[in-house]
Amino acid sequence: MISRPIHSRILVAACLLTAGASVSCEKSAPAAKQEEKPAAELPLSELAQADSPVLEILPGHTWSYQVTVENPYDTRIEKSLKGSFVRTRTYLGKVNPGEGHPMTDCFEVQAKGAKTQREYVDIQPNEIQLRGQVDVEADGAQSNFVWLQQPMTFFRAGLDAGDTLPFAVFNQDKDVWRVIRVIGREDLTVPAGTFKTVRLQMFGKDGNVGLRRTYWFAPGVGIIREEKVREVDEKPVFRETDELVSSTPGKNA
Amino acid sequence: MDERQPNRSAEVKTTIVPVMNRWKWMIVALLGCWGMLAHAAPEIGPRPENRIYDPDHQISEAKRDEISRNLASIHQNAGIDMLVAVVSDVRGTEPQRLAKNFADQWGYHGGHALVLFVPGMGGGPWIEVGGMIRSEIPDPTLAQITQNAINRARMEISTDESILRAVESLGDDLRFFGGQAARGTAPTVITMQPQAPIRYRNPVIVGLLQLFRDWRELMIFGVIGVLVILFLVLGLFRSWRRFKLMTPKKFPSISWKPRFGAPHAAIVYTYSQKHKTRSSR
Repeated sequence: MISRPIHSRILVAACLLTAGASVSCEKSAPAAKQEEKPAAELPLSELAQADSPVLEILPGHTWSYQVTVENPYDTRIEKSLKGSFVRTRTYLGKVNPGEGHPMTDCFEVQAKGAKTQREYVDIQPNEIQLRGQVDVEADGAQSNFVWLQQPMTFFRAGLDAGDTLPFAVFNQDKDVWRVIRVIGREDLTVPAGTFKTVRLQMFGKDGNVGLRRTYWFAPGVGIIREEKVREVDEKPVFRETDELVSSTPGKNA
Repeated sequence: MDERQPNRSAEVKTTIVPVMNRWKWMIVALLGCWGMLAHAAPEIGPRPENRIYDPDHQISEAKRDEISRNLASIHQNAGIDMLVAVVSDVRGTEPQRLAKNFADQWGYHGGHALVLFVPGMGGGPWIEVGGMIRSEIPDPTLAQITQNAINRARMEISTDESILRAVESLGDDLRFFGGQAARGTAPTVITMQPQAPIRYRNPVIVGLLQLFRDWRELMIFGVIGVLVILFLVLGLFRSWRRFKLMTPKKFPSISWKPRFGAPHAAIVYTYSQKHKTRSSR
């Protein structure tokens, strides 16, 4: 009989303390809000400072990749099919993607026997954002132009294991989406050398075709290695591995 | 001296031998079974140098190097000691149990994971995660991680690729979710279903979903649940009947009331004329 009032008093005291704490938190919240600064002005963490600028390049900078393509099961020969070739990515500088679009950083991707492709990205000191792409025919004509209304973050300074980047839906089509997560930081050795990289994973869907893309990005250098797997009905139908062979800096105009 | 003291060896003979005679066949059978079991259990040798145990060389040389590099990289970058065991026969041992035995024997205490492959045996691969990882990542998330790795392995046609993809998936997920756990953020599960790729799942919900996927566990819990409900319903029914018996009963002409101080400490009812019928008036 005696313990009940004591318990109830403790309970009441705890409730009062909790209520007081919440009130004090509510009171202090507006003060904290007043000190809030825009994201761009926030001080970067040490990791982010070490990563910045994420990519400082001049027009003409060229990366060469050794590409290995594999079809895990080719129905024609009833076994896996492999091939290998060289692909280059060249920075063209800021270009105008088309009427009504802002000046955007552009890379030209070339490989023997394949269409030339232009990738549009926004390179900022702390972040790289994907904006769109277009195919360039041999006569210079452009086709299959894709422009993202909402740019998609590809890399950001200071990323570490457990981070996720904002989810992106293309052209308001819910069946076409991409999402990126960060696996961690690691040293990676490729033919071009050993680099301190961030290992990221992109998952996506293009209708019923699934995409799993793992890429290693070295801040200040670029993409070091990439692995792309395309799946249909949870079966891999296409696998591609790119490894950096050389990186040649551009020159001032 | 000898004659005075009893001959102990003779006593032993007279006491134990009949017992032994009685149980000898049982003892022989037990020893035989023990010997057979000892022979059947796959032996766990020393820890493999390159983190791959493949006594029958079922992985190709080229893939072995690639897998080994991956395993070394996971340890170097994330501190997770991941191992692969490929055996052609489990010799009657449950594969998950065998995976645990390998992991306990070889894995580092800091945090380890072992992937067991038995080519030609369905239901695999079998994955055992142990050490500090278990305290860092919640169990439901860990179950999701192992299931992801199993699914990735099953997507591949060749054993080599299955092993490589299982190792990659397990390593990536352990690193990613380990990073989230270290920050105290909710696990972000990414599904490859269109329209709902990300789910910030509560670990309890993840656990329940896992339970639904594992139909055997679900069946056990279902049976237990039904039994508990049945027990509760019967208990309630019994209580209701008792309560009903204790309250005054109304019959056309008499009512029953419990009487205190009844003999045999039982409830005894007396009846009294309460409701008078028209005819009695």
